[in-house]
Amino acid sequence: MLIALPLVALIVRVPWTNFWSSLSSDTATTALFLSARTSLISTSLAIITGLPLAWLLAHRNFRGIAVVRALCVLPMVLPPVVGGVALLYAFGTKGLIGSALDNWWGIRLAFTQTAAILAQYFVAVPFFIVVMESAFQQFDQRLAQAARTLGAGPWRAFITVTLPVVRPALIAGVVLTWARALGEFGATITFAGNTPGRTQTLPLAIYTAFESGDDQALVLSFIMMAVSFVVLVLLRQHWISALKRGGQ
Amino acid sequence: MNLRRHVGRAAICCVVVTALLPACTTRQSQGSNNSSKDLVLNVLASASLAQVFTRIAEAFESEFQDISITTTFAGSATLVTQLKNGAPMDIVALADTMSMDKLSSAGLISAQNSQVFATNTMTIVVPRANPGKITGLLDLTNTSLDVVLCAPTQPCGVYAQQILKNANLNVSVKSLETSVSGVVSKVSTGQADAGIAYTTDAIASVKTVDAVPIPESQNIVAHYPIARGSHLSPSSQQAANAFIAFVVGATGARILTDLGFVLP
Repeated sequence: MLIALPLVALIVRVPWTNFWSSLSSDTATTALFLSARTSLISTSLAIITGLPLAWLLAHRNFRGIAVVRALCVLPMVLPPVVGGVALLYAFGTKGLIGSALDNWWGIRLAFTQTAAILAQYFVAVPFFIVVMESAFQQFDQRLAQAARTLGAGPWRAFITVTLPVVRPALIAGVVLTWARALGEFGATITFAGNTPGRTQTLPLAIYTAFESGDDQALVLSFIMMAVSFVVLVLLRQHWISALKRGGQ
Repeated sequence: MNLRRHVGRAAICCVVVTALLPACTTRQSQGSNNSSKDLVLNVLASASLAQVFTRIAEAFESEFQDISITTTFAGSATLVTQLKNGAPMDIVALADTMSMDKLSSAGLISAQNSQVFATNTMTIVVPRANPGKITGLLDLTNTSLDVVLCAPTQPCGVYAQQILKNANLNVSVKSLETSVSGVVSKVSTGQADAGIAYTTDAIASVKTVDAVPIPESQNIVAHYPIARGSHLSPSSQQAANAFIAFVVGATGARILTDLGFVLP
């Protein structure tokens, strides 16, 4: 009830007569494209870096693995704005790495679209790692070993045997990670700033519109709610099949 | 199962296309037609300059077809923090000279090319029809009313505190906003009964807020400086100078006074 009420209240207040004109305005379309683009890139980065990390955590035991695991999961429990401040003090021009990047190569990351992507990556990759580590742990290694005995290299065994088996979890992980990246606000506004056309993703655009008393905030909020709803529907099927396969 | 697969693939294609599209399109700007060869000027301005600088940017872009303006609006203190951390900037316009001095000490602007281009005063803003029946500053001390102010870390908050001090009043606040836009939006949507914002904000939001004036003896005068970033490329420097000249020139002055700013 407590969850449904605010959502219903939002839907009821959406200005339906202005819906399409609001949605097709410059600020809205810019924010939509920007969000789509940055979340796609950050999710791809999460997949590329997350898969090997998840595999490592699932199958190797080395000293300090608990620390590595904790670090991987940390951004998930860290308040997003803290993530943003941390990223700023790492990569801003006065930051640990940022000052070197700026002084030696003239690279400035903070307050750019790259920063927005980095912020999303930082908060979203833990979701992917957690889901995939669990999937890899549940995966019966003997299947891959069977492929190896038949002559497949480790890489081929991974692609043709392991991945298809963990596919439900992979899809669930990707969708969850993407949804988190799409919804990222605190780290983005702190590390990337709020510039339309460059870093103003959908959540930032909603906040800015809300701050100016603009009804567009309701329209865009509704869009995000619809996207979240679709995500949940997609996830449900795969979580169920992943649960069914678990332990097999 | 097949249908879901097709829908899934279609969804993926849509997402990929929309993600790649911006790579093909040009930098978005406030409703102007520009090619990717445009010089882009990054203008950072305080939240109270949002409406006026949006208009000025549009007028500037239609006169200077090969320059496009990217604006970022936030509380002046927020902008200072962003700039100190490396935010790209060609022009910065703030709501008080103290914030500009901070930028100058940090070497981000050169003190000589900073100039005051407008002044402003503050007013009490109330929702339309003034449901709280506010008639002056004294009414803000009424604890049954919801009052919002800017956070004292922002110039608009510093000014508001100064005004309350001048009037020798203590006000308990429902929310401290990080920019004056927050104050205006809370009042205009009726979430607060009153706030202290700039006179120009009341004019810009005349459809949704009413203003209750603050006597001159207790009011403040806000001085708005504008400056060019240091370390700009020669072409950016030229464009930035042109923008500043535009703001202090005839067109800029007209737009500023239309929205209630007072020229220095």
